[in-house]
Amino acid sequence: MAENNMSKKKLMKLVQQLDFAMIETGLYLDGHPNCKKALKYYNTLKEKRDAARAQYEAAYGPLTIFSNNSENTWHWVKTTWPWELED
Amino acid sequence: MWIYDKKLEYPIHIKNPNPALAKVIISQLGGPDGELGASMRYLNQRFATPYNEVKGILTDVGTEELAHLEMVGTILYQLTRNLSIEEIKESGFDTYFVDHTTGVYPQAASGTPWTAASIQSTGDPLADLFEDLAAEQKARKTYDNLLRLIDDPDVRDPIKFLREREIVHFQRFGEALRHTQDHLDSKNFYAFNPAFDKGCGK
Repeated sequence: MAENNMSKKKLMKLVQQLDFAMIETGLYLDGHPNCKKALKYYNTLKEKRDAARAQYEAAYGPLTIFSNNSENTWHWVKTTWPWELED
Repeated sequence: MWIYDKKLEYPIHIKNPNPALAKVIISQLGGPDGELGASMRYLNQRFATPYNEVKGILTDVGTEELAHLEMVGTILYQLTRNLSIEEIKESGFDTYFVDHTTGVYPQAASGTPWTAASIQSTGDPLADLFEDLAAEQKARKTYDNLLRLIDDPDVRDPIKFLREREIVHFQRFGEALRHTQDHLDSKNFYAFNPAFDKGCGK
């Protein structure tokens, strides 16, 4: 379970926000590969992004095919798919 | 290669099914200015450009378009769940239903299936980038028109996000074009193909 009681929806939203911020910054860096300010912002996001994803995966299952962490079950096909509505 | 990330780029929770909206939103899945065409356009064009920055922009925007394809598919899936035959008939969704039930199929709102005829990959980085700038504006136009047709805030919210991305991609392609033009040979006055014609790029 998660280290704190952050709900699945809330934690997913955090993962989405951090991934989005990194993708958006990366897209900008494609055209400005030496921009120190953007690189600094990218680097401050990286740690937060990795932590949020690790927290989500520990609590709610793998986000990629590489992160199934069970000896007994292939969680990849047991968790909800992104287009499906929960509750 | 690509790796699937089991999440949407932006959250979508549509409470009320509405097949009439699905009938028009489907154009952004497989219409002439839709997300599938966008992705195929950029991911194929990227092989022709000699410039690393432009390769990066085409790869990363083309990849993000796949995430947008998934978002539009999700909107269609959620708008067409639990429909009765009466709802299908009354909404006009029957003409789609007859061929695809509630499956997600890449077509325009007019019913024309997605076609590679709506995209180009010219082997000329300048010609491609001018097309890409136009493509982002055309997609933004479709989202503007969709927002004129849609009242449900659950549907408007992700459509607004997708519209904003077209605007950002237009900016990035503008930078890609500038980068390409900055690297033309000084004697290439008329912007001939810097990837193929000798002496046109540097």
